[in-house]
Amino acid sequence: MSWPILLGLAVGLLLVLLFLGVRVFVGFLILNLIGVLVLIGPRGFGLFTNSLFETATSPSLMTVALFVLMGEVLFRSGSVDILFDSVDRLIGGLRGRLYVVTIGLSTVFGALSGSAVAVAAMLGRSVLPMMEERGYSRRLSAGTILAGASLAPIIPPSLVAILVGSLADVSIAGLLIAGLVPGLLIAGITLAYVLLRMGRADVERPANTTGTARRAALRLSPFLLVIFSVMGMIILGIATPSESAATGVLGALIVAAIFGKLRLGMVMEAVSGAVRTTVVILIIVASAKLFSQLLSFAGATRGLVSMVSDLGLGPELTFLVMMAIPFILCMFIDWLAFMLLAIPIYQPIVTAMDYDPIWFWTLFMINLTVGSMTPPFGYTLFALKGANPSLSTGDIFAAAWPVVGIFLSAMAVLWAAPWLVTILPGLLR
Amino acid sequence: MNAVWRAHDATSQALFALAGVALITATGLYLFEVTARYIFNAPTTWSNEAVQYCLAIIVFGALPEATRGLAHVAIDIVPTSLPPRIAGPLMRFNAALASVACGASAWIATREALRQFDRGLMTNAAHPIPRWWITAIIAFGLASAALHFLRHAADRAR
Repeated sequence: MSWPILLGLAVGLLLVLLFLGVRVFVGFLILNLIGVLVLIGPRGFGLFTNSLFETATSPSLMTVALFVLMGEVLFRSGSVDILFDSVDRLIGGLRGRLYVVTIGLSTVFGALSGSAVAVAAMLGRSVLPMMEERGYSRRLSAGTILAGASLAPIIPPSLVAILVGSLADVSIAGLLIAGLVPGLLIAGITLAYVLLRMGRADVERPANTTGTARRAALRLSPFLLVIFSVMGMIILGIATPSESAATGVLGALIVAAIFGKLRLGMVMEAVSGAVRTTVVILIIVASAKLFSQLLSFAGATRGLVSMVSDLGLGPELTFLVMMAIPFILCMFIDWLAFMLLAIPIYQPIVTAMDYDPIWFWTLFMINLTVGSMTPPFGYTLFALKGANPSLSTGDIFAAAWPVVGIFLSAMAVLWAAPWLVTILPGLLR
Repeated sequence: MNAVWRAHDATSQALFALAGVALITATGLYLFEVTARYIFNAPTTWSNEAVQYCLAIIVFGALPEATRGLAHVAIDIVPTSLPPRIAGPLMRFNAALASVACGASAWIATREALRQFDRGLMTNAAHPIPRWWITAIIAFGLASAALHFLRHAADRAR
């Protein structure tokens, strides 16, 4: 059987299983078990076990567990509430200030958490009711929260960056740092959009006036320790990304202690939550790992590269096609499942087209983030709806489209000016 | 039979707790390594390897408990939009299919662990340990998850 038929059958089988509601990791297990039997036979079972073994003992994937733990400590200790109050106070009495607070807060959260779903749920519970109560536009508020939450997988630490880096064999440190400028760019564009779209209803309401701005800045300062523990350690070359995740956990514990919120029960809950999230993510990665080897074995890797070369689309059009596919597919399937399916297929094409890997995979990462907030099936949308059930699905969908536009505009900028992505990773080299 | 299921649940919870200990240990090991390397200029050769084994315990040790709580990611748009008389059997089928997939994977991993044990294979590391130790954790995690999926399928059938 030729590789295009095999690849088509494999992708088709996986999509059917996923749409039937089969657990994502089970879908990949079935795909790989059948793939091994068809392509290699029972003697390939050793390869199957080895792929699980290699993933389960990959030090770079420990970074996922540790970043999740860091976020859990910050959220469960209530340190983020102090962050919210301080940012709220510092923003002051602007018109439509809660929009600005949300974007500012999300940017800082992005540097403290790698999960859009977690930030959307948190902001949906805390900020959105406040915005509604004060008469802010419901759709613009939801859109601002969606945009803000979607900064988390882009601004380091980013779980997506670690997974992409380890699967695509790209520098994880480089990918992590590369997200910083694009994240700030998107935050800036979102802010400009919100300020332009703000209506008369979004008038200024009394600001949080508890405490002085200096006190707010002082209370914000311990969070710099967490950001330094992660990004500073990587940039200074003191720690590897995995080690910096551990120093980030220590930083988060110190912050909790500074605010008097360090309790054994809280730490245990954070560890339990982190283990649960980690196993859910990494079992999918472990189950999918063999797929890339099977693609090579079937000749699909080589075949794809020569097919793309023969099409003669050129690097620009090829790039556009490679970005359009995740944009469309991630509307319907889980971003993690898509990522695990796509990376082995994309990786040889990225090399053949001579794209800068950090630049390409950063844009791919942003694209995945867009996919998870694009109606009808984006995870971030569901997280916001779950956190604030009073929001109608129609409101959330209507709020999401302009945000999708903002992210696509930012991607266009990053495509035209690749140095915005590569400048910081360049400092690591 | 209930005693068997209770023992199965207790084992899953104990392994989940062990996964938590492994996560705390890994955090401590990395912090120790950074301190040893940058403050005492004495990098270790074993901490990174120990962290790797911790990760295997986290992923496959916590797998049964995550499966017991049905915490795994699924795209449930189709099952939740179907009428209950179709969605019920579909969910049952999905759980049974998951049980078969995890069971088959566990069987393959067990055979591989036995082969590694027979041949005395060690990990490729500065401080090698028997490879079957890790493979056995993988096999046990998958087998226990297969049993949980089977129980979910049976529960839905009732």
